[in-house]
Amino acid sequence: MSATPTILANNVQIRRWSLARSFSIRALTLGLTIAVVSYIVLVPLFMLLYASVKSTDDKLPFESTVTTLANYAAVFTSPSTLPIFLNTLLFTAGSLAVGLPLAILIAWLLERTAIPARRWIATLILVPMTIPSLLSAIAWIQLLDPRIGLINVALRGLFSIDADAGPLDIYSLYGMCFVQGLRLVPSAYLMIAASFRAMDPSLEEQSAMAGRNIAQTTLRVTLPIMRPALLAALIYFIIVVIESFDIPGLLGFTARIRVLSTAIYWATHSEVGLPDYGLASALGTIILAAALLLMWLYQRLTAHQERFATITGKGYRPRQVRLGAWTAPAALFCLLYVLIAVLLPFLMLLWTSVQPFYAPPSAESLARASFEGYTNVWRDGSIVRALWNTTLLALVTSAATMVLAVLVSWFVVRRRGQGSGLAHYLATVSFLPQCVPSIVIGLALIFVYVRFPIPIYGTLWIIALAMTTRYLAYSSRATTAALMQVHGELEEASQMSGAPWTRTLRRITMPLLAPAMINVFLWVAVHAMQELSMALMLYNPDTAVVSTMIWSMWQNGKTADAAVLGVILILLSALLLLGGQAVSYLRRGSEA
Amino acid sequence: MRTKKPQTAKIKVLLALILFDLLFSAAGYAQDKSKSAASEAIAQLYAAAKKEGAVVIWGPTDAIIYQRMQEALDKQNPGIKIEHFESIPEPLVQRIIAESQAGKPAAVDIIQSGSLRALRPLIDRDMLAAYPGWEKDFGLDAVYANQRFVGAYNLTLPICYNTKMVSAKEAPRSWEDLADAKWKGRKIIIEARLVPFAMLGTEWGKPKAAELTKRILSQQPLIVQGGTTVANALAGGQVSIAVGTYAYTIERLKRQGAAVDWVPVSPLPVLTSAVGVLKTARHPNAARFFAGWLGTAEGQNVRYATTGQAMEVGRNAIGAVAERIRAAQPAVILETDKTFAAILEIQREFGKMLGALR
Repeated sequence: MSATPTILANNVQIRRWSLARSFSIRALTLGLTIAVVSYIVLVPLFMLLYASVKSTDDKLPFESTVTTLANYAAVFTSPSTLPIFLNTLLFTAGSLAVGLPLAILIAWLLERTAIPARRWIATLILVPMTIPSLLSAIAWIQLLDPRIGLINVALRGLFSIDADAGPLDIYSLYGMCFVQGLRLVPSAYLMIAASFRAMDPSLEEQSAMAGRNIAQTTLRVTLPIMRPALLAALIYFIIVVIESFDIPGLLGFTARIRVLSTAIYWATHSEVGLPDYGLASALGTIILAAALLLMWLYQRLTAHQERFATITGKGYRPRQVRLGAWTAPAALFCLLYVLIAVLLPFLMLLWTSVQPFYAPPSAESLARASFEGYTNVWRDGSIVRALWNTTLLALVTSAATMVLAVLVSWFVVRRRGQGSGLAHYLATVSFLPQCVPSIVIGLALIFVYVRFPIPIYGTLWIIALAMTTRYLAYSSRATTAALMQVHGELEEASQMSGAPWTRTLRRITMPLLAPAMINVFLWVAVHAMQELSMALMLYNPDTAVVSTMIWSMWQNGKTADAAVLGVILILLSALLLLGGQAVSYLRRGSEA
Repeated sequence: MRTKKPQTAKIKVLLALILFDLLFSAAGYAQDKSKSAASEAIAQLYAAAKKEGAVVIWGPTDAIIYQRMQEALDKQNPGIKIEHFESIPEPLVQRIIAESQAGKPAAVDIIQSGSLRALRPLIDRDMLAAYPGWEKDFGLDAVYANQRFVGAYNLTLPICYNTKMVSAKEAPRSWEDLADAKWKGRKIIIEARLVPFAMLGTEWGKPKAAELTKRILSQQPLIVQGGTTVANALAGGQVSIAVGTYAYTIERLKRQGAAVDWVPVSPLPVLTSAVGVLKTARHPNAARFFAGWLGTAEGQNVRYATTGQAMEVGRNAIGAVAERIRAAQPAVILETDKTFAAILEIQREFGKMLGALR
């Protein structure tokens, strides 16, 4: 009996020591996370702001000695600026209007309803991501070009339209919104699906018991609960659309519909002396200001995040809605998306890969078909090296980005309640790389690492660093949205029972975040495989990747070879996706 | 006296013949001497190049060309390994400048570009070495900027057409024809940088070229980036007329069976893809030798046989494009170091017609 107070005292001491140690590890991790994120984000950001106030009269930013606001003046006084801003607004709104509702609907159907073959369809939904946006835009031109587009030719034949062009026109604002919207779906689906999957059904059940039907429950219960995830997706994709170039570049520019991204692209690729980094950076800074405003709004709207927590310590199992007669149409709807967004462009790419030059399918062009490209690409040993570099780059970038994103999310979500300015800082800073044009990130890294003692210049790691910076925004958005739905009480219970913070993170938080983490890993890997702008700035003969090879083949007129490599890249990415999804399902299966 | 006259005439003729022979021999001797001096200089350069053993070239040329060139070089001038890095010139030029400013000169000897303009930042910063031997010893005529650039090949920018949609008779015969109302409504495709029109500006003066460009742009042409995209759109039947792709690309597509052709309109814009040797080159002799060899008949033939690219105007021109230019004899607007600044300035100005902010 006399020993009891001593044991208790010892236990209390051990717990105190354990808590103190846990705090010190947490503080250290927080410090490291802030340092790493600040470093990788602020370097290109500094370059953006610096370049925007430097004279760019055929000079690189660090060569110029004149500080000026002339770049901003050029932006705001040009007669082209207003149409560019209006087009950007319409393009962004239109693309989001196509992409986000589609993604939300598909996520809901696949995560919360009992439609057949959900796992297969869920994997197929992600496949459009594997088609590089440049090749996707080219494929859509081949499908919807007013004159020779296959769909237009078929429609003219079907409805006996006596015209040599139309009825659909891909070179228009609605054409751009349609293709961009379709391309948003997989990324938005990934961001939203994890939250749907992790939702506590009790509120929906109560709503149903109160007599509300599926639509009413969805509108009044499900969607409000999903607000952080939806807002995160909305804000992220606003910036993504504003910043995306390939589709506005290939479809919009063709019809002289200029948007902000094409203005940035042309400032840096105008072939008129050195790139006009001043103008591009001034435009980038405007996007940055818009992003900061959106972030501020987001933080205000999700200030009381605990309202959105649906995974608590009280146990949950998301209920699946039965759609009855709508089951088959719902599944067909998802498959229709796959057909439109994947199959049609992929078939066009396959067709291009067997043609010496692009020609619409006909008996004449069929006679010219050859599989020469499929043997040509292997003749040069460099493709094997490029494939290896691409795979390595994808794996390293996605692992690094995922770890960083989880840590950022944890500190953002769990420390926000404590009123920490650091949480706001991390949330904001991790989002900003999305606003810095890729080419500026590439240039910033050249300038820093050519001087810096860390020997990564000229290696694959500098490209991985650039991509980690670039993809941190998406990754941290996705993991933050998912973590917001995991109530802190589970972690608190773990820590109350003496588990150190690292173990709690490893054993409680990460397993609950696993679906989002797997998705982030896959998303980053697939995007890293396709990235071109930064790779072009930073690669050298030993670090060439598949995307740079596709680009050079295309530039040299080897369209069939470029399409063959595109097909290989798509298959490789699809394989990765399938592997990732298999892991995800196995994990869920073992949990069940 | 009378009998003496023919004799005097004979003597005069004889003297004239002897003089002519002497002069001819002297000229021949001088020529032979200069030839042998040139050969001697090239031989010395080759010996120095061989000692260096390698040459590193960065530029947009397809790797296959350098593989073929290596094979050809190994037969006649073995001992120089070509190391090639394929990329667009603009990022390469920025890297070279950035690395040089950091005191770590890029590990490159020769920089190549699709046009002279892309190398201008290196000229402005005095980063290219001059080499008179290209002109004097290799006998090349496309040598620019005080012997800092040597032409590797030309890129002729004609008016191109789809032969299934437009007959040779109907095809535009002049730049003004593109403004004809019959081409209204997405029947023309134009490369977005408007290079041919900017080059016309250097020949006609900016106002005239600007006025025509405006009229053509009001025809609602498709505007795309990249010569390959322009050529593909034409070959695929997306449009009837194309401006901004190269004559050699159209020749290649013709050989592959595409229904396309080009018109050697006058004036005819011709770009110059050039190579320059960096002052910081680690293999300066190999670089000078290889850059010169690229312009020789042997170097040209290898390039032409592999891709169809070659010098298309001037003394060293070869190939189908050169032959058609020779036959049609259009006025040629050649991109040189004297004109590239003007082309850039007009290009910048014309870019505003397509919505460029500056």
